[in-house]
Amino acid sequence: MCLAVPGRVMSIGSDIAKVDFGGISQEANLTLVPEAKVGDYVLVHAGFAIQQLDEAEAEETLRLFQELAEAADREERETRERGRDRTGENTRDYNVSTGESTNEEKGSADGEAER
Amino acid sequence: MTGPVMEVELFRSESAAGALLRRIERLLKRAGATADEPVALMEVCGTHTVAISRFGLRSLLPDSLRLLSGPGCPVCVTPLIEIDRSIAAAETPGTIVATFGDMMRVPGSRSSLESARTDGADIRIVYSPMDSLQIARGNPGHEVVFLGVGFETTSPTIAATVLAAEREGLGNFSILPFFKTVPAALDMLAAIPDRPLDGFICPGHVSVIIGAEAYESVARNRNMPCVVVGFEPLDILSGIEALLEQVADIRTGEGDARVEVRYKRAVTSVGNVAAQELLRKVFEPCDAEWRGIGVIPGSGHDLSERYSDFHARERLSLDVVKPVEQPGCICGEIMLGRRLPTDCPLFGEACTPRRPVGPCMVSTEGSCAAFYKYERNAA
Repeated sequence: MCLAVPGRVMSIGSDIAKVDFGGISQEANLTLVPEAKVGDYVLVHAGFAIQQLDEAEAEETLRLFQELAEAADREERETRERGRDRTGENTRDYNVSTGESTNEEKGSADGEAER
Repeated sequence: MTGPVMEVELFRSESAAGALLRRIERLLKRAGATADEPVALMEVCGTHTVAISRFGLRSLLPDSLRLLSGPGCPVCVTPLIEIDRSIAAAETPGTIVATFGDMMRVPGSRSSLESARTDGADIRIVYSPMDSLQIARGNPGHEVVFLGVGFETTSPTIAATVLAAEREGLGNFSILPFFKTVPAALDMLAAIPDRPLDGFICPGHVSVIIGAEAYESVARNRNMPCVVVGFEPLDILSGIEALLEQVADIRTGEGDARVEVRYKRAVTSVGNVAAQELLRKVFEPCDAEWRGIGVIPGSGHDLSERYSDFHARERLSLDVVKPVEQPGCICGEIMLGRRLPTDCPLFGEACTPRRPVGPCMVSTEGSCAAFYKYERNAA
């Protein structure tokens, strides 16, 4: 019920905007976001734009996710190398899809991206 | 060329999900959670309910974490008597009922809007409440009643529609308000003493309107972690991670509950002030009955006195007999976080999306309906 879809304001006429949703364009009422301008990204719910989306915050969130993934890869690589140094045996990989560990040897450090 | 806010795939990266899952595992250990005594987090948004089920997040998470579905679907928590009242409105000669599609198949005590339409009632599904004004303009001899269902995400759009009808002097448009508001419900849920609950996955699009600060009193007064969360898999995992950080801090005496936003591209602390002004202008807070739960003080919106002429009860006689809920249904227990859909003896047998018995099965965003569609075989 509270589903809202992001789109980009393409044109504005009085309080109605034409909003592009990745190739499909539809009208949205701008009463709730009176400051929206052409080119802004808005969240649309029940025919109304209910918020202007913050692109800088979206980029920042994605940067943090990227850092997390890289840190996890580094950590996994280091753990694997330490394990090899210590035992010379295979170490455990983590399977994102099942949440289970496996004993299969993987050729690269980013095992979870390969499933 | 589109910006990152439109690229949902960026919020579904497997490598970042794996990293978040590992952090979640560590935080659960730090919080002392086990399969027998799991950390319990509750979402109160039907769109979260569906996203968690659809992306299979429960199956990825350790069994020391329990995800509960609260009363997050406004269609589901609309009392049976209001469904009966909506059908009575539709069956009144000279009336057209306009509604969001979600309401059509919800069974009332004897019928549904869908069957009433088959029997000849004029019921029209609209995408936006503004579409119902177009119906009113085109049918000046009819009363057009819009069914006002929704949380704070939706109610401002209906407030704007009422104001547009007033500006235009449309005398044949009214609404039946069943609006619910989230913070009072969270406070009630947080105060229930006899079941574990460690934090709220706060509804992303309700929070767009009301702002994250609306949860401050729940976080502070109930020491209940509140994190506003988006709807993509990484948004949800990141929100769970933030909640678990707080839970671990609380359990180790290193911190108190607070409000955090992990959906910053859409949600601010203050929310959408223009929408809040419309809500204050057109509606006023009221006590509201939540189907399966009961009356929660201050958890609804009714038309304010100034706009009470737009209430359908002022135009139509909508007296209906108070119906009785079918016995055996445990939806109330599910929405309070005491049980899961699969604990219900009716689930998947006597109660299915095609023939729903209880409120959590009536809409696609109900927790039982989402479980039935996506997790029935995994359970």
